[in-house]
Amino acid sequence: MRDSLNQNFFKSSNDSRKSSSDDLALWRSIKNGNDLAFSSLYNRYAQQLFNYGMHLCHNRELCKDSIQELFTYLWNRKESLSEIDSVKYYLLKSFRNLLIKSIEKDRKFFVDLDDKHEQFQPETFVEEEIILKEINFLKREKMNFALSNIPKRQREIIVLRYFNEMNYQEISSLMGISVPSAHNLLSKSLQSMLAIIGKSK
Amino acid sequence: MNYPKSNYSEFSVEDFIMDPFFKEWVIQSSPEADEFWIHWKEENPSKVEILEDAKKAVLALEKSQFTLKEEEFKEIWKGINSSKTQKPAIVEKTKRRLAIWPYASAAAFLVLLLAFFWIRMPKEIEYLTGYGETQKIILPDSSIVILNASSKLTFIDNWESEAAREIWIEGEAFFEVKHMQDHQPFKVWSSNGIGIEVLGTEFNVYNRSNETEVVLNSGVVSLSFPVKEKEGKILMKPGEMVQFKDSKFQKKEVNASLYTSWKDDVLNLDETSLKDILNVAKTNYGVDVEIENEAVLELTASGSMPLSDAENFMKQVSMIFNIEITKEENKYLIK
Repeated sequence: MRDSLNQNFFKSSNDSRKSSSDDLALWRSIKNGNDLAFSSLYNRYAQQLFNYGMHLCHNRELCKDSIQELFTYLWNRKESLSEIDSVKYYLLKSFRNLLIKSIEKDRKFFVDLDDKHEQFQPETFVEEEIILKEINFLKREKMNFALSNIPKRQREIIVLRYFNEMNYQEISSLMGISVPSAHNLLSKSLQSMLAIIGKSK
Repeated sequence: MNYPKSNYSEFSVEDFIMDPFFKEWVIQSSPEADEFWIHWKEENPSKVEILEDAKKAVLALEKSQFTLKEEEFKEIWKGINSSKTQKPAIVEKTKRRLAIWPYASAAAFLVLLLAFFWIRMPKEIEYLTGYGETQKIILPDSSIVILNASSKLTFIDNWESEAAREIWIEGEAFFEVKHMQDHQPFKVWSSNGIGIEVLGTEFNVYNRSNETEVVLNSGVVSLSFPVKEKEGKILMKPGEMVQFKDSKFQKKEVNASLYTSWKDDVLNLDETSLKDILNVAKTNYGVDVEIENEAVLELTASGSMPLSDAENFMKQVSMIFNIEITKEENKYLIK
C-alpha cells in the first residue's frame, strides 16, 4: 500500500469530468423506477447543464427552471424512455430544446449577449458579476470578457467541446451542422477567443 | 501522474486544451509537470506559441465557468421531487376554465384544512444517496447518521410521541446514537427484518442484497432476527460483528475501524482481497468490471485508500495491486 497517494491530486483531476461509464446503467435503472439512480443522474449532470445553459442565454432563473423541467419530464415518463446511445447527448439536446422554446416564448427574459445595443444590465448578470468579483476581481473580469464577446455559435461550440466534452458527431448533430463545419467552427472560435484575450491584455 | 503522454509536437491549440495532462498542469502546476513542460519547450521552440495560446485559452475557459450554488442545486432537486406528485393537479387546471370560482374557493378551503392536518401529521422522511456520495444526517433527537453511497434511510418524524425511535435502512450507514434521559430505545430495521435495538452507542449497519452486517464500535446493542420457529435475539459487545445471511447468523471479533472508516472518506484494508474491493466499487459507485484472469481476485492488500469517485477508485486499485485496468465505454477491464 502506498502512503504517498495524494488525495488532492486525484480529487482535482476528476471533479470536472465525471465518468460516463455507468450512464447507461443509470438510465436503465431509472426506466425501472429507481430513484437512487435518478438522483445520481441529477448530481452528475445538473452543473454541466447549467454551465451550458448560462453560456447560451445568460439567464440564471431560466436555466434553473429548464433543468427542473427536464428532470421532471424524464421522471414522469420514465417508463416510456427509449434505449439511447449517449445519456449526456440526450440530456444536452433536450435541455437545449427546452431553453430555446422558453427563450422564444418569453423573449423579454432573454438577454442576447451578441446584442451590442444592450442598454441595461439584467439583475442576474449583475449578481453573477458580484460573485465573480468576490473571487478574483481582476482576473475574472478580463476572462469573462473573452467568452462573452465572441458570437453565440462560437461560444456554444467551445462550451460543448471543452466543458461537456462532446465529440464532433454529437456536436454536429446537436448544432445542426456537418462534421467538417464543426471542426472549422471550433478552430475559428478558439482564434476569436484568443484574439480577445490578446487585446484585453 | 499516470497520464499517457501524447506526441505533443503535433498538437494544435484544440488538442492541447482537450488533453487532461496539459489541462491539469495549467490549472494546478506540480514540480514534475513543470519540469516536463520546460523541457518540452526547449525541445520544441517553434511550438511554444501554440502552447502559450492553449494555456491562455484554458485559463480563460476555466474562469468563465458558471456553477450552481449549493442552495440552488438543492432547490432545483426539491422542485423536481415536488412536481413528481403535483402533476395530475396541473393537468386538471388547464383543462377546465369555466365557472370554477365557487368550486375553487371551496376547494381552497379544503386544501387549507387538509394542509393544516397534513402539517400536524407525522411525516415520513427519506434520505437517499447516489453512487459515490455520502451524507451526514442529524436526526430529530440529535443522533448522527452517516449514510454511505447508494443507500436509503427512512423514518417517521413522530419520535416524541412514540415508545421507540425507529429507522429503516437499505445500504450502509454508521450511527452515533444519543442516549435519551428517559432511556427511549433506538431501533434500526434492515430490509430483511433484522432489528437492532440500542440505547446510546456507535455502530455500523451494512444491508445490501439480502445480507446484513452489524459492527459495534462502542456501547451495547441487542439484535433480533426474523427466524421462523423462535425469535432470535443476541447481545453484541464492542468490537464484534454479526452477519446475517440466508436465515443464519454468525458472530466474529473484528477490528471495528476497518468497517467504519468509509465515513471519513477512507477505505481501510487489512489483507482485503481484490474481489471484496471490487464489490465495494460496484455497490458504492455502480462500476461494472470485467476480469480476464480470475486469479487476480485473490490478491490482497493492507493499508488505507482515500475515497472520492469511481474513476479515482479504479485508478488507485490499479496502483495498489499493480494491475492494468482499462476503461471501456461503460465498464472497466482488468487484464
